[in-house]
Amino acid sequence: MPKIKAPSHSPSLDMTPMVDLAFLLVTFFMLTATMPAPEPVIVDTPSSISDVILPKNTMLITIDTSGRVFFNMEGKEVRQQMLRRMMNQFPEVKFTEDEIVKFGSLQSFGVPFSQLPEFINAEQSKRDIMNRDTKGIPMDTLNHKDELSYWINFGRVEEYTWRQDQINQGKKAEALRYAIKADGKAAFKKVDAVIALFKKQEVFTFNLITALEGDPNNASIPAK
Amino acid sequence: MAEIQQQQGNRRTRRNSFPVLRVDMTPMVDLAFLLLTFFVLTSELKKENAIVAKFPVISEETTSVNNGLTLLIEKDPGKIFWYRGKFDPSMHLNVVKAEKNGLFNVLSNANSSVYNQIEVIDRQHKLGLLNDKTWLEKRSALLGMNSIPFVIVKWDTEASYGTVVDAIDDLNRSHNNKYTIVPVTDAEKTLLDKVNPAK
Repeated sequence: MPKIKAPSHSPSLDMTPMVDLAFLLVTFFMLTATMPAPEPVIVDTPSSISDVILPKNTMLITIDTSGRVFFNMEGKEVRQQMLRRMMNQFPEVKFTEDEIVKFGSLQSFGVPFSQLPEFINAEQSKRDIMNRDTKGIPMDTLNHKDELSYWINFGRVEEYTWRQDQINQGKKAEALRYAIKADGKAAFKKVDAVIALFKKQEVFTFNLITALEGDPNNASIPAK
Repeated sequence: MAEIQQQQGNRRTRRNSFPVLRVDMTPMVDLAFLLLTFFVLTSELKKENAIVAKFPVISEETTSVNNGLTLLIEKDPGKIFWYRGKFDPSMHLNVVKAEKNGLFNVLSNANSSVYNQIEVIDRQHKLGLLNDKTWLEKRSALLGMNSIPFVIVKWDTEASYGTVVDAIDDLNRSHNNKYTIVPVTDAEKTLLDKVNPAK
């Protein structure tokens, strides 16, 4: 085979710095990007021109188009303790220690308490089906079945305990905020029913989650 | 094309040492930029903000003797009914279109003196004529003024959440910070049905 003579000045390009740069940027965006929490339902929030950014430490109530209510509380320890309190309240539903741990890293859920063990153990595909079929967290005040109020109450109590711990350890902890993420087409009646439960627990201020919209008047709305 | 260029200088060592290490970096670059694109898109597109809204408990007596504005929100998201002052079963209800700043214009007119003054100091602050401290002081003084009308947003059972949030947004934009959100009364509902029979 004849020897191919390589050109003395090959047109090759050294891509190493480019790779370095690309991975640097990838790392940067990976670290800064806050992954949106997996949502149990698709919620199309109304838009507003408010420039209040959603606070970090939140209790989130999601309400979908048909008015089904989903609940989410942040913080692993808080969630686990909250679940233990719920177990005392509803002793007929049994959880294993493993399920309690798993519940800590779960996100929003909308199943009645009796179905929660099944929901925790289910695969993602099964959870999607359960989320689709559920009627949301029960909140009828009859027969002590107002589970949402208990979740809210226990979540608040445990978050408060956790926050005091943080402060005692000299760490900073933001106050708990209450966020409502409802679909623009949901009936306001349903949202008001949830707000009424909060009002009973003397919570009157909420962060209504909206999508950012340009100001039609281009007036400056200063941050509070 | 895209490989590490081996130093060509010392040919003697090549003979009895390792073969030339050539790594094609093209797939790596592809992968890096794919990931980069993904993270850029996911982090930028998801922009969420929040309206801070207060839902105070207000007695029915307070809401019935309102001298300010009452907004009535119905099923139709495009139309908002409103009246000023005390309710009267035979009164005329004003209608305003929700889009194109219809409601916003009503609210900023009702609150015109405070709204205009805040717009002026906001502009001065933007141009650097006011420092942050005096600007915030002036703002909070204006927002505490008694001339701001009390606005009651009343919702019908069929009103959508989006319409109510739009109304709250317009209230915030027009610096109406004194408002509450309550369900419509039966008398108002009767009047609404009379005014707006097409359902």
